[in-house]
Amino acid sequence: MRRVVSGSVAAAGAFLLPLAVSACPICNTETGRQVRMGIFGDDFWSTLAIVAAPFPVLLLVLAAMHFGWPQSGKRQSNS
Amino acid sequence: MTHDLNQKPLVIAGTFMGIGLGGFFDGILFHQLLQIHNMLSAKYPKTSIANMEINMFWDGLFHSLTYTMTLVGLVLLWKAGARRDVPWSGKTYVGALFLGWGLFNFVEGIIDHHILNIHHVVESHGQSVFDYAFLASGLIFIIGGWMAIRSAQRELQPRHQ
Repeated sequence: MRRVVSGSVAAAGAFLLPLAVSACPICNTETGRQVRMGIFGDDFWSTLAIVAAPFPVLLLVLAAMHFGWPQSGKRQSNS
Repeated sequence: MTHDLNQKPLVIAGTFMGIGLGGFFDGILFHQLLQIHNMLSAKYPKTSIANMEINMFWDGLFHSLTYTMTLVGLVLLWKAGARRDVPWSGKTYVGALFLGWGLFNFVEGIIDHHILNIHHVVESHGQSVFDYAFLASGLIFIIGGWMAIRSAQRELQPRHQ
């Protein structure tokens, strides 16, 4: 049983390793090089700003909800 | 004794979490299961492994931000839970979750699909009815969430010890 398990793990590793290497964006392969160029090229910071753009807007909405409704949601009650 | 009941901390916490969970829903259902709506698919069409990996990187970065929103929401929820002036209302919280989810869909849809055009819901269709359905879902969630919060506001009860 142990031999079957270790054999399966070795076979899976042998099968997956080349895929992992060729699909790894930080690995030294042609695909990895293309991916790095695509991600960390001259437009990295502008792309980062574009990708993150919805979040400052969402935070502004949340800030308006928090600071802009001073009395909203408050009610007096007796206990 | 008089208490000020304040549902705002719970609403803010729920909205943060709704934005984060809405982002995760989008990422899991659209990006991963259906493999559409990837972050830069208008610029890098998914026609090669390299382009798919570039999209995957920016998807991951986007989801890091939704993760941060969820984490902030969780911290705020914990703080709200410790406050006796914050009524522990399920309706308020679920309403806020939908409000956040709707805000996410609406803001992300407007900015990414219609202003920046960096991707669309179904890239092969370009800007299509799916993008408008995405915006509509955002509006429906915002209105539904807001109505639930307003409705809960009328039923707020002080917390029991």
